[in-house]
Amino acid sequence: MRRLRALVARLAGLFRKDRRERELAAEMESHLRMHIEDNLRTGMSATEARRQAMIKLGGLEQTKENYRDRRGLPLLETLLQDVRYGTRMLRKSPGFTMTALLTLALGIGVNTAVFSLAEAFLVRPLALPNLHRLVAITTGQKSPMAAADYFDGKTQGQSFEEIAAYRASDMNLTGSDEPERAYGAAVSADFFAALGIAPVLGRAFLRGEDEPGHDQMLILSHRLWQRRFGADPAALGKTVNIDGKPYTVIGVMDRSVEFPVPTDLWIPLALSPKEKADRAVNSLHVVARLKDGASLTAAQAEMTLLGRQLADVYPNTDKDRQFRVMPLVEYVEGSITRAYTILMLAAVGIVLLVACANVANLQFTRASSRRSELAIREALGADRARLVRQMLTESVLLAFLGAVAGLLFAKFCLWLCVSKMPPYVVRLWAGFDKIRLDSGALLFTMAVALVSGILAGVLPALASSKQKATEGLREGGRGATTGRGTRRLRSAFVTAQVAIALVLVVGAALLIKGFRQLTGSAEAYSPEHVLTLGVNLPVSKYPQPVERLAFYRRALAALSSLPGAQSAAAFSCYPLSNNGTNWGYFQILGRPASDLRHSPWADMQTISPEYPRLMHVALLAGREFTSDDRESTQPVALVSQKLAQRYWPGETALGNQIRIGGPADSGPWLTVVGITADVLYDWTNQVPQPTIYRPFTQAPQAASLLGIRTSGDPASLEKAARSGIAFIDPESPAFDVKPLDVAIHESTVGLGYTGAMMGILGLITLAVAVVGIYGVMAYTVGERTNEFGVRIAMGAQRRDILWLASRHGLLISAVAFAIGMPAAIASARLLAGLIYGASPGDLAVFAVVPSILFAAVLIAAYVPARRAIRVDPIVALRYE
Amino acid sequence: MGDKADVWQGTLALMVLKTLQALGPLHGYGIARRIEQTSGDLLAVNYGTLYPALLKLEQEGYISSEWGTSDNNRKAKYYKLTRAGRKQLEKEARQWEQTTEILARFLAPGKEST
Repeated sequence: MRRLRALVARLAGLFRKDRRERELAAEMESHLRMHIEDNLRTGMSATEARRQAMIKLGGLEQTKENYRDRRGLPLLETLLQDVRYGTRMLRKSPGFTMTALLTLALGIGVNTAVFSLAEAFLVRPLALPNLHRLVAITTGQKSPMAAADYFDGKTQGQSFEEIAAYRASDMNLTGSDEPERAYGAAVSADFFAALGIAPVLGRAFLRGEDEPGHDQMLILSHRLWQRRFGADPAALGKTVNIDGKPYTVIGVMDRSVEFPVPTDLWIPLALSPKEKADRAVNSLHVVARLKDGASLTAAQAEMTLLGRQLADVYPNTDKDRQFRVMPLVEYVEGSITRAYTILMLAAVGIVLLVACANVANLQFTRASSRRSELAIREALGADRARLVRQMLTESVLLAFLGAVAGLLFAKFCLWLCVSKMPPYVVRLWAGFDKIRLDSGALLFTMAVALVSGILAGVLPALASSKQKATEGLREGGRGATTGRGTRRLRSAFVTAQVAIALVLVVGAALLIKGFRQLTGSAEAYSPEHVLTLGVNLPVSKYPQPVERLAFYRRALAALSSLPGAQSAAAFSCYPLSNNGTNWGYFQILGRPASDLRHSPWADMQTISPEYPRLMHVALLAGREFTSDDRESTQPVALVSQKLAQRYWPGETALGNQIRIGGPADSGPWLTVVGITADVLYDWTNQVPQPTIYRPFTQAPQAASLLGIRTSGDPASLEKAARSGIAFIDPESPAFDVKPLDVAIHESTVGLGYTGAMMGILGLITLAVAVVGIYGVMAYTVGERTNEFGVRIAMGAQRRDILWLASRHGLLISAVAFAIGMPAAIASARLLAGLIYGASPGDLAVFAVVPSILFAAVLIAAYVPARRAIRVDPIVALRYE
Repeated sequence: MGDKADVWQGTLALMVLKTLQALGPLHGYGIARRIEQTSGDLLAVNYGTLYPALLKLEQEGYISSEWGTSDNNRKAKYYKLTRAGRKQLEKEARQWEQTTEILARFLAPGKEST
């Protein structure tokens, strides 16, 4: 308390100094007078009395100085003084200040922007209280849990406050309004308690309401409440039909709550006794809140033990079963979001380093023109530490000013990111709606500014304060060149800058090229003439395959007869999507696999006969499916070229028989009747996967995509297609109705963003590096003006001078490329696993990018060198 | 060096407080003389060190100051004890007595050295 009070008083002491000084002087004055008077009284002479009083006081100025130190905060005062002085110095050289400021603003700004993105995606993608105490329990790496395993964990888990389960599924909403498709989640009764949230209106589910027969109620998301009920509180108690069954609204969630991502409504997870006992199918997502004091490690140890116990008791299903406890944040993040975000963080870190190196160089340059100033300060009694501190303060001040501009730039970057993203993607992307510049980002920016200020300032400060004052004063007035050490250091900085820029620009070029290749490959399917729509037939209403098949037949007939439609087809997945594919094992007749894990695998697709032609997937051998492939005829399959080559190399796959599932599964043997070209269905796989196609007549799925090839703009058919489906079954509305090119754009937009961002970063780095090399070259030439003048006067050829002046720049670029190229190749190798189409041996990129960079560097070196040969010897010599 | 100054600063503050308690409002010179006299000239320090100590006590709120007129009609800055200062004086005096008592026991000739 007292300390704080004193601190406040001392802070106040920094102000109204004049008055305080006068008061101090008056107090000292009165002290001395009283003392002198006393001394006089003891019989001293006037001079002696004054002298003794002064001695006893211990020196007037010294006392005053001690008093001042106590009055204010000396450290802070020097700092303020340095800042004031720094501001004046920065204002005096606006060229230097603007260049450095701009460089730092860009460098810090992109860091702030990417930090905000990373924070939104990786740290707080969900608006849930005490998010860091929430975990997901998974089977293996990231699979859901089997229901029976979940219930065992629930009864035995000691580290958890609550353990809850959910299952996300799309639901068809019907009732008073137009039928629509909603993101639904079936959740256990304790789900909201585990997450630590409660509805803003109405109530959550109660224990026992997640039992079959008691579960006909639902909780609305704020979004759905607004959309369907106009945010009317009277929505409570209303009935909504979900997949044909009536549910009563009992609550509305807060606007911020969206878990799982995305969710429109929650219903109870009512499992039948048989479903509860299931240990085979991993079907439940499990979330839990850690008890106070329980660590993730303890929870993990507990679940590992449970896994071992279950494996002993139920070897058939739970053998080798391993549970993993991971932070919920990690569980919800997109499969490649983390990798790409880290890539971006690394890239902006590099940009910052380059920016710092550049500013350091600028300061080196400026420091040499400030030599006489520093020398005078030193001669007047400033020690080296004081000089270094002064220069560092200036550098940090510069960085903070840059950070302010950087924040604006970051805000602009984020605005670009958010405003151009399709709303559909924003909903599916956990954390995308949480992007903003918050206090964390602000703190981060300040920290980055401080670090970059020091990084950029420390070497120039040390180097320029090293010289002796006498030297500085002697050289000050003359145009002598900089010390050798400083020049070397500066060259090293520029070299590093160019080398780093090379690495980053090559990486950016690879990424952009990969993205262009990816989007370019979509052209093969001419997606701008395809309309896609999804349907999902509830099993309750369509329990039998024949019923589903009948629906699809009618739907395809209706869609293909729409005006403007050329053909219609059903399929499981469109090319270049990123929702994952239906991946599974299969068996080959005559080649029994020892167990599931050694079985061959493929992506499974169910298609109608028209699909290959509609999607322009070429048939390479055999035949396509026809209308003669029926439920009752021989079961058949098409395989992709990749699958055929992998499992029947050197022979034909046609005529062979395969069966879907593991070695223990039963099912019909399918005869391979045709081989198709490869298609990259999920672009995150980077290369096409082996694929098995089955005819929809023999395996009609509950969920399917439908496509229409149109002669004109597919968007114009959207409405007609919707009502066509609604006419067949009003309770199974079509969803995600959009042209295929839009769907592909939405699935690849994240990659496009990364590419664009990397491109921008690459350009920034390139620009900064070019400015850096130009600055050094221009300065070197300027410094040697009189030397060149002398040489010209002595008869040196212009060519010789040009060579002399640019030699240094050439040397720098040569060294930079010698270091940068191997580093670029190495980092490209690293990136190859991450970036679609990025191959470390991409000669085009590795030839073109460095050439451009080299040309830019050459120009930056040449322009100042040309100035050197124009030097007029008379002027140059007079200058001295 | 620093340690000595600290000890001095600490005791000096106590002496200042005690002086102000005994004599009432007083100016810096008066406090300095009084401390010197009381210590029986054993303490010979610069009066100058007193002023930062006074400032510190004032910043901490133990004393307050105000300009007044001295006996022989001179303007001087007078310091006086605040309520917090009175309390602080009691506390510090008690602590100091305790400390000296303990030290005295230690230094008392060899009772416990057996």
